[in-house]
Amino acid sequence: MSQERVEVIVVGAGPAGVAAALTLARAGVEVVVLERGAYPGAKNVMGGILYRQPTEELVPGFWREAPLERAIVEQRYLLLTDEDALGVTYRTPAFGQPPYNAFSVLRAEWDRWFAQQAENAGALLATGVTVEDVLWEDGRIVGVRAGEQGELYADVVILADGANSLLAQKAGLAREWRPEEQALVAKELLRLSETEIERRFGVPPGQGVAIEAFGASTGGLLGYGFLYTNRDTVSVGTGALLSDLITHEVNVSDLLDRFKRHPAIAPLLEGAELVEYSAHLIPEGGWRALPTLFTDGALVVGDAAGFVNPLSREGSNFAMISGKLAAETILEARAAGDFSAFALSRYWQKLEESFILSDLETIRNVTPFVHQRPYLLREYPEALARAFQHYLTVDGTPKAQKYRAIVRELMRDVRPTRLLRDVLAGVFQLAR
Amino acid sequence: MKIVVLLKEVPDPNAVRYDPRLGDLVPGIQRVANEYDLYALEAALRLREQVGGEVVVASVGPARDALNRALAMGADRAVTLEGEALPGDAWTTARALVAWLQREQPDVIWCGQETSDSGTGNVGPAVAAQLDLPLVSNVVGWEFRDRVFEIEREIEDGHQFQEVAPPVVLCALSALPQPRLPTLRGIMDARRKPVERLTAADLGLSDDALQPLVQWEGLSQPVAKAAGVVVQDVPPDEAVERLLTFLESRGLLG
Ligand SMILES: Cc1cc2nc3c(=O)[nH]c(=O)nc-3n(C[C@H](O)[C@H](O)[C@H](O)COP(=O)(O)OP(=O)(O)OC[C@H]3O[C@@H](n4cnc5c(N)ncnc54)[C@H](O)[C@@H]3O)c2cc1C
Ligand SMILES: Cc1cc2nc3c(=O)[nH]c(=O)nc-3n(C[C@H](O)[C@H](O)[C@H](O)COP(=O)(O)OP(=O)(O)OC[C@H]3O[C@@H](n4cnc5c(N)ncnc54)[C@H](O)[C@@H]3O)c2cc1C
Repeated sequence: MSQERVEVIVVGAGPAGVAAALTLARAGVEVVVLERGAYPGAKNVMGGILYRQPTEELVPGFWREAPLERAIVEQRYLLLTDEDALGVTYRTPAFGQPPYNAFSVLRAEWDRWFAQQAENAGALLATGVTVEDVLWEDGRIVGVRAGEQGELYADVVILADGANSLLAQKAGLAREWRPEEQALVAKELLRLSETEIERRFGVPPGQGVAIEAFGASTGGLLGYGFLYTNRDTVSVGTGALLSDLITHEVNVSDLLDRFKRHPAIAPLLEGAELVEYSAHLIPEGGWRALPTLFTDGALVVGDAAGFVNPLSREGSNFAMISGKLAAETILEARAAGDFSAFALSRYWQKLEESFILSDLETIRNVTPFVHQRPYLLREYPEALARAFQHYLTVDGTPKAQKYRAIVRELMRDVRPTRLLRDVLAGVFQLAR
Repeated sequence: MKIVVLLKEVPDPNAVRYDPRLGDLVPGIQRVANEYDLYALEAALRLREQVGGEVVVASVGPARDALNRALAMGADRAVTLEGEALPGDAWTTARALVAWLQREQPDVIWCGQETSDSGTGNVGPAVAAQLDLPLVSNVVGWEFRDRVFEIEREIEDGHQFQEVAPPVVLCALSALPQPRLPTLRGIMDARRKPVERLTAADLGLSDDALQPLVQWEGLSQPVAKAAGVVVQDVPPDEAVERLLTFLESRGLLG
C-alpha cells in the first residue's frame, strides 16, 4: 500500500501546535494537526491569562472577535499567612482600553477558536487521533504512528504534545522528567454571576482582576495560588513543585482547599458553584531541563520543550511564539529542500534571538534560589504580617515606642543582613 | 447496495450548559455527531463491507465536523440539506430528508434511535411513514442473509427478533458494535470526498411544505423542588401516623 504523506505533521492542537500550523498553512504548506481530544481544548486546563502582544503576532486584532472572558485591568499580589494577607495592587484603566494588555480566557473556547483560524488558513485538523510514536527511516524521523489508526508520513514532524511530552522521550530528544522539574497544579472553575463578579472585584463589565498569592497559599512551598475572573466564572488554583509536594507529603488538592478557605479569598468565592476540577503538570525545569529541540525531521515546541516562565505565568505565549519560530524554520528548510538537523538548527538561533531562551536563562536560578531560602515563603510573610498588625493596631502605646518595637521585631525575624544579601543575590540573578 | 445514514450534529452532551439569562444553552458549545448516529454509520459501513455498494451520509442543517468525521470513518459521500426553515421540527426535518431520499432511492436507511438534544425519536419513523417503508426501531443486533435482515430489537421486557427485507428504515441503539476510529488514511481521503449542499428549493420544497407542527418556546430550567419527607424503616402504624400528621400540618385533611 502506498504511504499517506503530507508536508508537515503537527502533533497536538494546543497553542504551540496551532501557531505552527497557522503559520505554515498561511505560507501554503500542506499541514495536518493531529489532536487526541474530541476537539482542541476539550481537555485543556488553563488558569487562563492570555497576553495580547504575542498573540497578535499570530492573529492581528484577534481581540475583536476571539472568545475572551475579561480584559485584565488589575493585578493583585498577595503574601499570605495562615490567616492574614498583605498585598500590592496595580490597576490601570489603560489595560481596559483597546488594544488591551491581557485577557482571561477559557481554554476550551480559546483553543477551539484559535484552531479554527488555522483551519481557515488551510490546515487540516484531525481530532480523536492519539499519536503513539514517531516513525524512523535511516536515522531520521519520517512520520508518526497512531496505533490502529495507522501511519502518516511527512517531511517534518512538529512535536507539540504539551507538558511531559511522551513523544519527545520516544524520539530520544528528552530524558524522562524529574519531580523537581514539574509543578503540579490543581485548578477549579467556579461559577458566579457576572454582576456578582463585578461587585466583588470592583470592576465594570468586560474587565477583570488577576490575583497571585504566595506564602500560605502553597503551605510555604515554592509555587503560588491564583484567582482569575472570567465572565461568569472564576478560575482558582494552586500549584507547587512536584518534588516539594512529595517530600513534604502535601496533597495539591488539600492546598487548593486551604487556599479557597483563606479569610482573604473565601469571601470572593462565597456561594460559587463548582463547574470543573482538574489537575495538570507545568514544566518548570526550564533552562536546566531543555530537551534536544530539533533533530533530522523533527522539532519540539511549547510545553513539550519546557518553554514556560512560571514567574509571569507565561506558557501559552512561549508556546505560540515557539510554534511560529518552528514554522518559519521549516519554511526556510523547505525552500532549501533540506530537513536535516543541520537545516533545522536555525530554530535554535531563532529562539535565541527571541525572548524565549533569554527569559528561560534569566529565571534559571529562581527555583534553586528560593529552595535555598525556605524562609522566603514562610517566615517573611509571618514577620511582615506581624509588623503590619502592630502598626495598624491603635492601643494607646506611644507611636515612637511602637515603631521601635516593630523595627526590633523585624530585625529579629527578617535579619537585615540576610535580607540584604538575598535582595542583592536576587537582583543580580534577574538583572545580569 | 445503496445505504443512507441520517446524521445530526448536536451540542456536545459533555459540555451542555444552560444560561438562565438567555433562556437557552450558553453560546458556542462545540457540536458533535449524535452518538447513536455514529452507531448507525458503523452498521452501514459493515453492511457495505459485506455486500458492497455505497454509504451516503445526510444531514439537515450544517454539520461540517460530524460529516467530515463520517467521511473519515469511511462513508463515500455526504449531503447537507440547508434552508431558512430547516431543521424546523422533526416533521419538517423528515420532510426535507424524504424529498432527497426519493431521488436517491436507497435500499437501506440507517438512523439513530433518537438525538441527545431534542430527542423526540420521531425523525426515523416520520421518514419511514412518508416513504411508506417498513421501520424497525431500537435495533441492537442485525445480520443480513439471503437479502433479508434478521434483526434483534430491544423492547420493554426483553428482546424481539424480526425479519425484514430492504428497502427499510432501521434505528440504531448503542448496543450495536462501537463506531470505529477514523484511520489517518481515512482522514486524508475524506478531504477528497464529495460533500453536496442542497437547499430546500433544490429539492422542490416550498416554505409552505416546511411549516413546522411544533411551536418551539425555548428552554427553561425546571423549578427546584424542596426535598420531600421520606418515611422509611418504621412500622406501618407509625408511618401512617406520621403521614397523617404531615398532611394535617399542611391543612390538607380539611
Ligand atoms: C493550571 C494551569 C494554569 C496555567 N495558566 C496559564 C496562564 O494563565 N497563562 C499562560 O500563558 N499559560 C498558563 N499555563 C500554561 C499553558 O497552559 C501552557 O504553557 C500551554 O498550554 C502550552 O501549550 P502547548 O501547545 O505547548 O501544550 P498544550 O496546551 O498542553 O497542548 C498539547 C496538546 O497536545 C495534545 N496531545 C498530547 N499528546 C498527544 C498525542 N500523543 N497525540 C495527539 N495529541 C496529543 C493534547 O491533547 C493537547 O491538546 C497554565 C497551565 C496550567 C496547567
Ligand atoms: C421553531 C423551532 C426551533 C427549534 N429550535 C431548536 C433548537 O434551538 N435546538 C434544538 O436542539 N432543537 C430545536 N428544535 C427542534 C429540532 O430542530 C427538531 O426537533 C429536530 O430536528 C428533530 O429531531 P430530533 O432531534 O428530535 O431527532 P430524533 O427524531 O430524536 O432523531 C432520530 C434520528 O433521526 C435522524 N435525524 C434527526 N434529525 C436529523 C437531522 N437534522 N438531519 C439528519 N438526520 C436527523 C438521526 O439519525 C437521529 O438519530 C426546534 C424546533 C422548532 C419547531
